[in-house]
Amino acid sequence: MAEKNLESKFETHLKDVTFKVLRYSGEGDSTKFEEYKVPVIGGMTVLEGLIYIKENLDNTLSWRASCRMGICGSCGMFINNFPMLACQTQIMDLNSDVIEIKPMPNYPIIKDLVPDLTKLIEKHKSIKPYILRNDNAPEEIEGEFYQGVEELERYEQFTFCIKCGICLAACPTVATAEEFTGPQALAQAYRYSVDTRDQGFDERKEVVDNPLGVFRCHFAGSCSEACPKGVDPALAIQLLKKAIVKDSLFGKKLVHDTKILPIKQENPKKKDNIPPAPPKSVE
Amino acid sequence: MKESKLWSLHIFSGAILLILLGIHMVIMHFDKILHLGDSLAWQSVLTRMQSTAHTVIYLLLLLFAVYHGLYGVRSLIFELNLSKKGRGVVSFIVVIVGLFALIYGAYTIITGHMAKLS
Ligand code: HEM
Ligand code: HEM
Ligand code: SF4
Ligand code: FES
Repeated sequence: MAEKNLESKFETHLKDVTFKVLRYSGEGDSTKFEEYKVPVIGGMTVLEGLIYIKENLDNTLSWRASCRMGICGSCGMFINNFPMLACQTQIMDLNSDVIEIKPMPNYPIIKDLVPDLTKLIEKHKSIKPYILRNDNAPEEIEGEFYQGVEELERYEQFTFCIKCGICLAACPTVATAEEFTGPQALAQAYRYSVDTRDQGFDERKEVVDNPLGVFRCHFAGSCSEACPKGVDPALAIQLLKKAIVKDSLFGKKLVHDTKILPIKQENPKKKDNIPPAPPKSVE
Repeated sequence: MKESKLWSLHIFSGAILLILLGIHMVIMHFDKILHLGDSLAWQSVLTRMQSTAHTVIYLLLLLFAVYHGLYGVRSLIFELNLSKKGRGVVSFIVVIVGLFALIYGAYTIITGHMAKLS
C-alpha cells in the first residue's frame, strides 16, 4: 500500500534532476562524485531528494538531518557551491537540472555529507553562551529581571542562531585560520554580553580579545550572506569590536543595571480593564 | 599588549595614512597637474628634505606606515594556523624588521634634513 502511494506520488513529478553528490568513505581514501537521478515533485527539498536516494537508489549515502524544518541545524551542506540547509532549500528554486552537493567546507569530514562540528561547538562553549551573574541570582534575588522592548531588540535577532555552522563554512578567515573564534561564537558573545540581565562582558572579553579572536574578522560579511536564519553575525562582530575597544581604550565597560521586578506581591491588584476568563469548556 | 589596543592602532594608523600618504602621493604624482615642477628632480627632493614641515610629515608617515604595514602582515600570517610558538617567532621578527625600518628611515630623513648641501 505504502509502495503504491510512493509510485503514484512520483508519477506526477515535474522533472528529473541529477544529484551529483561528493562521496567519501570516511576511511582516508579519496573523494569522488556519484550521480543519482531524482524525480522531483512540487515542494520537494534537497533533503527530500537525498532521502529519496537513500530509500530507492543507494542506501550507503550518509548525511545528517533531524527536524526537516530548519530548526535543528543538522543539515548544512554545500549545495551548488553555497552553504545552505538541505531541508530549507527547494529543488525547483535552484533552477538547475544538476545539483552538486558537497559537505560544508572548513570542517573535517566524517563521511559523505557529514561534517565534524566539534570545533563549532567548542568555540560556542568557549564564549560562555548563557547569562552570567556576579551575584547569585536567581537563588538570592526574589524577583524577575525586567527588560524593555528596546533592550530586547539589541540582541533578539542573534538568538535565532541554530548552531548549524553554515556561517563558519562561508567565512574566508575560518578557511585559513582554523582557530579563529568564528562568526557563530562571536555573535553569541555579543548576544549575551549586550543582554541587560547579563554581567559577563569581562569574562567573554578575555576569551575573544586575543590574536585569533574577534579582531581577525575582516568584515567580508559572508556569514551574514549565508545564514539561513537571517542572523547578521557580521553586525554582531563589529558591535563586539566596538564594545571591546571602548572598554580597553577608554575604560567604558559594557555594564547593565539590571532592573528587578519583585514577583511576590502581597496583594496583587487586578487591573479593571481585564475581562473575566471564559467559562471552562472541559471538566 | 591586548589585541584590541594593537588593532585600534592599526585602524588609527590607516586613517592617518589616508592623509599623510595622500599628501605624499599627490606631491609625487600630481606635480604636472599642480605645477609643482618635477617632484622627483634632485633639487625638489632636496628642498623638501630640508623643510621642517616635510621632515615632520615624513617621520610620521614612516612611523605609521611601518606600524600599519607590519601589523597587517602579522595578522595575515597569524591566519595560517601557526602554533603559539610560531606566532611568537612571527611577532619577534615583525618587531625587529619594524625597528630596523624605523631607525634606518629616521636616519635617512634626519641626515637629509641636516645635510648642508646646496
Ligand atoms: C610611486 C609612489 C612613490 C613615490 C614616487 C615616492 C617617492 C618618494 C621620494 C622621492 C621620497 C624622498 C622624499 C621627498 O622627495 O620628498 C620619499 C620618501 C618617503 N616615502 Fe615615498 N614614494 C612613493 C610611495 C610611498 C609609499 C606607498 C609609502 C608608504 C607606505 C611611502 C613612504 C615614504 C616615506 C616614509 C618617506 C620618507 C623617507 C625615509 O624614511 O627615508 N612612499 N618617497
Ligand atoms: C590610504 C592608506 C591606507 C588605509 C586607509 C588603509 C586601511 C587599512 C584597513 C582598514 C585595513 C584593515 C583591513 C582588514 O582588517 O581587513 C588594512 C589592512 C592592511 N593594510 Fe592598510 N591602509 C592603507 C595603506 C596601507 C599601506 C601603505 C600598506 C603597506 C605598507 C598597508 C598594508 C596593510 C596590510 C598588510 C594590511 C593587512 C591586510 C588585511 O588585514 O586584509 N596599508 N589597511
Ligand atoms: S549564525 Fe546563522 S549560519 Fe551561523 S550557526 Fe547560527 S544560524 Fe547557522
Ligand atoms: S534537518 Fe533540521 S535544520 Fe535541516
